[in-house]
Amino acid sequence: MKKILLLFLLLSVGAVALFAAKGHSPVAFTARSRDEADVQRLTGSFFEDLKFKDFTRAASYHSAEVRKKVNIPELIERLFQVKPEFLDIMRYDVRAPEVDSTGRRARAKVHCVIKVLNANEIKEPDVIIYWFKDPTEGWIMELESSLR
Amino acid sequence: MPATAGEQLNVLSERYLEIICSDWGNTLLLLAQAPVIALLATLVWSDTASSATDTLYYVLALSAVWFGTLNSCREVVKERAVLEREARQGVGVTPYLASKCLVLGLISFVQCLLLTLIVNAKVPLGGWALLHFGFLWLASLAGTALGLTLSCVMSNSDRAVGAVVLVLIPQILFSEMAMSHAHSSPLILWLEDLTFLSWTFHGMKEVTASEPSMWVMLQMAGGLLGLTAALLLLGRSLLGWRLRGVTRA
Repeated sequence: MKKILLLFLLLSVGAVALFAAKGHSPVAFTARSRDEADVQRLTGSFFEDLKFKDFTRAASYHSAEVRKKVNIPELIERLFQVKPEFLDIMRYDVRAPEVDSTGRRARAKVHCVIKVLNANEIKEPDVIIYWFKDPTEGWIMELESSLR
Repeated sequence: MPATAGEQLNVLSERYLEIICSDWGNTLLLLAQAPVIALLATLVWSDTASSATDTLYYVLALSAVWFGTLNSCREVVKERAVLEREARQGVGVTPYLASKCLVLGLISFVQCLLLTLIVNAKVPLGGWALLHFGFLWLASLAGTALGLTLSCVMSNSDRAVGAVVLVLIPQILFSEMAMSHAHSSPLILWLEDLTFLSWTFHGMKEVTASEPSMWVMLQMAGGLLGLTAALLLLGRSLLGWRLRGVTRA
């Protein structure tokens, strides 16, 4: 049994050393990637709403305060340079979500494939969506800040 | 004077380790499962996401349970004749099962370590990877206990392997990933609490939560350990009951 316990001990020390070598020390236990995953999911969900022209739901990613005032059709026209009625979002790919060092700001780059219906033209714009973490509402979007 | 349980455990575990090491082909095959599954998982997730998703945690937890169950499901039944002979000489069921747990726990330790390291290198799991490894190992230990219990009940190795499917599919069925909690009946929710997958999955999710709670993680680990202990006690009772006639004779 001593042999087995010794093997366990050696393997445990090896495991801790390997994880520590990869920079996952207990001090760095901040779970940043979970926020990144949330931002990725929310950005994807927002683009799905745009794709299906659900502007009410697309506005729901903003804070409760600005939700009623926000004009999604106007904002997407500025974002894609295409009138919403002529915009067909064919495909989107949320790439490289990033959370800053404070864990309160994030951004996600989205590669889109869109078709301008009246011109029968296909474009592949990249857009960046910015997110802010509200203590009560969680991750909220400010689409206007993405257009500045 | 008969050997104490501690002495029996010492001899049985050393002997079992030697048997495992001498069958290096089979041991290598068991250990190779983890890197293969890990590479396949990274192939899927590295293309679709730059960070881990809930489905990845679920697949890793399922793999760990599967490793443990498959490693152990034949280990008692294949030695039934030897065990019966030794039981007549006074070898106890508890040290016998404990020796299996120790050695199989060592194998699942290596498997889960390889699985976590390889996946985490390609798709960052989030949070502290050592805790993910801890949950996966606990899941694998629970799977080992399940496999040993099956092995105590079944009459031959083939039946034990066949029964693995019967006990692992419900783990998948009674999980949040198969049906969301909003659509699950109270009975399903209760059954979900009896699955290792659920405790492991929620534990891994807690590791990556925005504000991870150590108390919740301890609860999840405790749930896994509780299920493992309950299964081992069940296996011990069933094996003791089966060997009762032998020891009397």
